[in-house]
Amino acid sequence: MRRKVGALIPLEVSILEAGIELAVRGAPYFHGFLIAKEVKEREDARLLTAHGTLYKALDRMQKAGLLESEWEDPLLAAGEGRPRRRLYRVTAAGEAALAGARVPQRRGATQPTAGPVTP
Amino acid sequence: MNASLILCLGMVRNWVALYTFGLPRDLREGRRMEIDCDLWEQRQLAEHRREPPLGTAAEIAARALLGAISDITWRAQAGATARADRSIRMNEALYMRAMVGAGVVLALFLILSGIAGVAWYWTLVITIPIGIAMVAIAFFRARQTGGAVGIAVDRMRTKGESRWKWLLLVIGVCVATVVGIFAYLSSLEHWGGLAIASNFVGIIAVLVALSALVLLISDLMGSVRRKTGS
Repeated sequence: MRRKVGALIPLEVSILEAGIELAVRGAPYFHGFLIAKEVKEREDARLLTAHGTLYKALDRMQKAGLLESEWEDPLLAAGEGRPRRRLYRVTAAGEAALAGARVPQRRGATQPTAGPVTP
Repeated sequence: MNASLILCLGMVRNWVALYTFGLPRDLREGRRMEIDCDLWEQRQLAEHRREPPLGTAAEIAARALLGAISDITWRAQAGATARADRSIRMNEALYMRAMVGAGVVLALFLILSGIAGVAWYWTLVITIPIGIAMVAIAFFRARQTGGAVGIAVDRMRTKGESRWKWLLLVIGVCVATVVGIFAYLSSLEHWGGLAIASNFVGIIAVLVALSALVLLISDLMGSVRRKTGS
């Protein structure tokens, strides 16, 4: 089934939520493994998100303007003796998309009480 | 490092190398570096938490396996986008289209000159298949990526990239041109204006072939020097 244009899938919502939470904690930039770890911990999942699923989602979100990315300074990575990280950041469009995705959820949650009460 | 972990890391890297093969360099290297970084981070975290290496290896293998379908679909999309981008880029440039046109004209000339050389039947065997192949390559590549000749020029302009294939292609085309012209001229009883023009094209083809040969030899010598030096 094709999803609606502009609609977020659960993994994208999780990535945006985790990314925003990291930004609130003072780390606005995150790399692939870090976000996979955050998503796993938030959702109490048994496994980290699969490589293909994660990086395809990050790529798609970047193209949609929900995330932006840049490669870190190679000297920094070399200094710490590790591979270079591609650092992502949630954009304003990403925050707006997440807010938009939450609205239907809230509406859905309040609908039963907002509806007419049958005697 | 644990043997199971080494095996798993190798398998994941090989898989990434396989599905990114043939993509443009930035996409290919980007994905490979990103997965490399991911594997490194996961390994570091596992070591920090003193998790058993077998468990880490199993989790890495599971992540690779469960994401394989997404990898394949990503590859298909990235490949299609890269082809379209390249096609647009190559076709937009006027000189690239001119180069493709020149390639097609040259190839057609080879066919016609081969046909003209009917008196020397053995030249047909050489020139016609080469000419047909050149036309086919020019049209097929033009439809796919903006033209074989365009790509050849593009490749030659990129420093550090291997250009030997393209130099060989240029030499091949020039040799076929010279053979075709020779066949054509041999079939003529009297030389006219067209014959002189053909001679002129033949001389240019020889000069281009010689230049390409010099570049090829210089590249080969440079490669040998680098190998012996390292």
